[in-house]
Amino acid sequence: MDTPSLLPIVYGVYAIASLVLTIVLARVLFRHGEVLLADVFADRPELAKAVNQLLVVGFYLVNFGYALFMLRGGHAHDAVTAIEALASKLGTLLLSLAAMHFVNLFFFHRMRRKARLADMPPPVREHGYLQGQAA
Amino acid sequence: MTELTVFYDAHCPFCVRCRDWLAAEPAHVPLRLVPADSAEAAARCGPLTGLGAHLVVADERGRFWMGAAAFVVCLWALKSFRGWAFALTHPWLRGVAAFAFDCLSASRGWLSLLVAGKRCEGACGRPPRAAYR
Repeated sequence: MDTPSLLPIVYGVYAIASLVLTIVLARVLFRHGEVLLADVFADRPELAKAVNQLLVVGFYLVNFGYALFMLRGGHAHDAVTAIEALASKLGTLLLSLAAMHFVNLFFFHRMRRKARLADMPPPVREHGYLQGQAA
Repeated sequence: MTELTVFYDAHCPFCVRCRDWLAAEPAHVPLRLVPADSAEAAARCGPLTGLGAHLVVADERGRFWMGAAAFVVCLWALKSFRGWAFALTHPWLRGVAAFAFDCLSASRGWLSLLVAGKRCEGACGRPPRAAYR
């Protein structure tokens, strides 16, 4: 007797989980990223808002696109293989979300560092003071 | 810091090339480029051993840097290279970078031939080592 495949259920659960995960993570990123960006663009708060929005849009695009790509494939003849398929899909998605997240953090860090560099003193100590007249 | 004065060797074609490059780069701190054997340099620096043989950079308050440290301060002054100044003074790179800058200083003679096809007529011998402080 031919057992019905559980793949549609796997797909359904996966679609809902990836949707919820992406939305939740994007919102967290949006909320906390704003604090960091406000520090980077201290003199132009509207620019901080704009950059934050753009980053979140990028995050949504990449993650939804990737999640859709990941949907296809897998075997689900019984409950065990169905759970395995679901777990491997969600695991890959989560790992790629983590990678995206750290890339994002890295860029935030770089932007902050760039902004800070502008008012840092020289990294080497002077050898002394010139004996001649001042400029 | 409102201004940095760079005392360079005007008789060394390689140094003149570097001066032109420095002058063209966008800077955080305005750079004044003054030949090391000029009257202004003599007046500003007073009796300073190594002037001309080493790169010397001074700010408006009279603080000065020499040799490898002066290279770092020049990089620090430039908008696109400030990050490099910090990277090259990181404890891991500090020694290597200082050595590289000293080598660069010491190789001005043949670098001048290479870059400008002219012999160096300044103090292009091997200058004594002036490390970071």
